[in-house]
Amino acid sequence: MRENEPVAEPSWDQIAAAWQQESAPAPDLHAAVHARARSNTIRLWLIVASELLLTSALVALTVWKLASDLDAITVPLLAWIWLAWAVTAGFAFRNRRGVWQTAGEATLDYIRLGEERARRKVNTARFTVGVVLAQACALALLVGWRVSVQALSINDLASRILLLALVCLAYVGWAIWFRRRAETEHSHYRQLRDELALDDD
Amino acid sequence: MRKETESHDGRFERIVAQFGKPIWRLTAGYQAQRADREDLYQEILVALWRALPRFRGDCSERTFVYRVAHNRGITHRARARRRAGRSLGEIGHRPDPRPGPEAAAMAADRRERLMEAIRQLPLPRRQVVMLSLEDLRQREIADTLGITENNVAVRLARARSDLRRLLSHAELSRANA
Repeated sequence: MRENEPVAEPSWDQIAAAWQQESAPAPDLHAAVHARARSNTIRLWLIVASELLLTSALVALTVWKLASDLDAITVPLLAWIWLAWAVTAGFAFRNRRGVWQTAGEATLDYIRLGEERARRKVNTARFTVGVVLAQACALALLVGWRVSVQALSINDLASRILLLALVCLAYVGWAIWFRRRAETEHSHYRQLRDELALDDD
Repeated sequence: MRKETESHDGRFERIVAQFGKPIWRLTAGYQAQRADREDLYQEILVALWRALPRFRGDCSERTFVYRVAHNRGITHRARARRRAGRSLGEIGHRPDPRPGPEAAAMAADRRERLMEAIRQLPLPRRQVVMLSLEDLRQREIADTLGITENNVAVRLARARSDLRRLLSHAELSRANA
């Protein structure tokens, strides 16, 4: 055939027939799919179980403290812990609502919800930093109060502050990493939305 | 009635038996390498497994399955692009370099050229054309993608024209080679 000789365009029926000619059978991935689905289910149950366990531990601690002798510092400490729990639980409930499972939505809704989910992950990272800073401030105040009431040694005080600082740093580090990941995810959904809107003229 | 009494497992197995092959076909529109296709296929099946209990029947089961499949397809492609750090549309344009018995067959060759052309289409046209090739009606395509039927018609007309042009170019290049 000579160069640039016109070639007949294939008909739609020919294209459809070629599309249907998938010679390779679909792979049998039953075992892998079931294993992944099972691990997903276990992961979700572990999250629920850990949340329930944490709440139960808080209830047990509160009951135990209320049953034993209450000192001046225990009441504000318990009140603070329960306040932080309530604020966190309220945030988690609001932040998870409406964007749980989106795979079965129409593509545009799926992308819109994906973008919203990523935005809420960014909110989670911000909230985590806020809660950690508030907790650190409250604990610092309590430690300071205790120092003024009881004569704590410098070593004892330093080890407590160091532990507190390490825990705060770990949380803040995690929040920064999580926020960056969520922002990348958000920008990818936005790109997808822009890409899919190319023919919307 | 059958769907209401079916167990989750049973329903999933029936859907895989009914739609496994079409889903496998559409993975080729998003990924070229067999390993990537298998990865995407697995991801779609896991997403279906998880999404099935939440299927409210607000669309047909076929539409629901294609929604899940295409949604996973676009995010899988975006993730692959992110991992590779390549530009838009570059992913999935490399044909599988492994020689196979079917590579020599003419039908497989024709299909490979078609898949290559489909992967070169912009994403909105690619999705519409793949759904149309699976014999979905315009209403079903619109339900799957969340766009209007008019928009489907416009995209489809452009996609068909692009596809024919790309296939003639591929044919011409092959003939000249």
